[in-house]
Amino acid sequence: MKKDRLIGVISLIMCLVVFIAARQLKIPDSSSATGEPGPRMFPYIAAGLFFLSGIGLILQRQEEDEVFLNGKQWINLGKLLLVIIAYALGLYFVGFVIASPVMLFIAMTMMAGEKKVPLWVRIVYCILITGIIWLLFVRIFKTVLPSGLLF
Amino acid sequence: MLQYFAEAMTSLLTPGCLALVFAGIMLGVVFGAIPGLGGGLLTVLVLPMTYKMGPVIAIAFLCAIYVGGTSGSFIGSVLMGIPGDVASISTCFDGYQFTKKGDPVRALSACTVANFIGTVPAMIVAMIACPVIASIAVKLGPWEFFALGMCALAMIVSLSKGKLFKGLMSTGLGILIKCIGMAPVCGTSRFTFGSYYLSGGVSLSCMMLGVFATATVLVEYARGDKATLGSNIKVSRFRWPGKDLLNNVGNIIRSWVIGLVIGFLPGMGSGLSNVVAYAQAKSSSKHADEFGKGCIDGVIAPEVANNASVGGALIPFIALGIPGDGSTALLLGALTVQGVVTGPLMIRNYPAVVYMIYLACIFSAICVLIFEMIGMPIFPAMLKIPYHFLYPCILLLILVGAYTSSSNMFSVVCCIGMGFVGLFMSWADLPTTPFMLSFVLGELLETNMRRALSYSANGWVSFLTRPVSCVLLVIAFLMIVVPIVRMIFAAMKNTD
Repeated sequence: MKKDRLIGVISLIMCLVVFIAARQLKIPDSSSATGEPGPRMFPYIAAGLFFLSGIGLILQRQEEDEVFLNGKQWINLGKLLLVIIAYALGLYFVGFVIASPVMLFIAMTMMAGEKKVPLWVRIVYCILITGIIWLLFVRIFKTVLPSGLLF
Repeated sequence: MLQYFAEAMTSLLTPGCLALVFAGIMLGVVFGAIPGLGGGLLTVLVLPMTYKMGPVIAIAFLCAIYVGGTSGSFIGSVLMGIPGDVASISTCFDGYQFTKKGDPVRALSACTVANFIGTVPAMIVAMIACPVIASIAVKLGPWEFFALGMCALAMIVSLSKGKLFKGLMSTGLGILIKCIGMAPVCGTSRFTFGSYYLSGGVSLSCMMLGVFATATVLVEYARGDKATLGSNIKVSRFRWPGKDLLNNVGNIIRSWVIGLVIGFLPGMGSGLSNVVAYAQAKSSSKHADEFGKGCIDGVIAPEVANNASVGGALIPFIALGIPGDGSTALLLGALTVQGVVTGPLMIRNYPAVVYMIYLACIFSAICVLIFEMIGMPIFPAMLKIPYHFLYPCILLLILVGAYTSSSNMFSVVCCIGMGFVGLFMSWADLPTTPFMLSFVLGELLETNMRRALSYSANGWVSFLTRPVSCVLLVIAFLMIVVPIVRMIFAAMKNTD
């Protein structure tokens, strides 16, 4: 199946899901009394747009698919996604101060690939960036950064 | 007016605000120059930092990034033939030819001054036009505001070149995500799955950080084609492009008008104006055959137009509360977070904020001019910032920014979830501007539509019995239907 046609099918499925979900919403008495359509209207509009785009994408002339990412690139994307999720978990469990330099080090090592970045540069970079961001948010903007569940 | 200007000037000239504006300008130019990043991404990244600043300081900072980002985008176009941002797509065609010929300074110098010429007069026009348009707009009711919002959305969707249906899908996604949380007017919970955190809806920061920033970093890293950027180009000092400017007076005026008008139309912006200005400059030039081979007219036209669009886009944003383009949608979101109610009453209710927008943009344009004139020799170095230093830092800012937007981990989870939405959009090649605008305008559209229906006795017909609303809705309808009819006719012709 051509990619645009597949996107069209996804759009139609989304239309169906949103339509069914919107039908479950209760229309409050205040809406019925004033004659306005209530909270279902906008999800219906979204479903209508999905329907229109789905039909259009399926029926329109199908063009040659461009490769979005190849197999290796998808693996790279998956790896970085794992780093992001691990960092989110790190923020939750061990807090910003510990999780951030670790994430920076791993992400930087991954992204540098074959380029040789001396270990001391990587360590200094990770500590420096963590320190600057901490100073910026905590001291200057007076916000709170995650301190971690375990500490 | 002068009193408000003086107040804005006083706020701007405080050391803290000045430091933020300078930082915004420099970071804006750097991010604008680097392909794949752009000023928009920087605005998204710093949005959570602005929450504690207060609206006047925050808007000055964001305006500096807006002007810096739009101006800096020509650097990548001229030096590498890759635009830093959509605002400078057309600058590549001729700008890069100068680098190939070994004279990038001529193009860079012309762009630097063209940016300034584009921004400042457009801001003066915005200052004059906004109060006039706002005074008319206060007389409009919810019918007209709903129709205006629909018109803006229809314009963006219809402009999704060759991607009309994808534009519609993108708009649907934006509206759907905006539907999460409490419905306006009645306060009913929608699509919250019983979650306390979701009842407040998806915040602008989480959405932007996830859909745009996370997805951008993921895709750019996965593609891994950045190693070739920033080749060894030597750029000497700024050279005043007096002769080039004198030879292009007509071109400058025409491009400026194109930029201003396209920027003013809701949903359009610098991404379109630079292309139109380039096409017009080429079609009306006596030496059209030189375009694409290194013609300075083709460098000046898009750079004047994209910066004139900054002023143009601010007019509907300030006077009507309708963003002119993606960047002003971000500014509008930032002001909403600060508690500023945007719309025609903004000039009356928040004059300090409005005059700070004008002043910060003009001040930033002057600073960008000086910064780019002095810093021209370091332009190639900007493009050589290693991505393995830049992207990890951006990732950190994304998740920390999501956390600080609400001080709970749910926002981080929400941001990652939005990252998946962004990835899907990148994979499906869905245009991002309709998504962004429908998300930002969603509440305004729904509130006004439902208010209009509850105020009127004759329901949906009331949208057509009021002349302004009727005209705007007919325009919106035609914007969507005409391209579809054209596509059907074209398909029928092909089958014949």
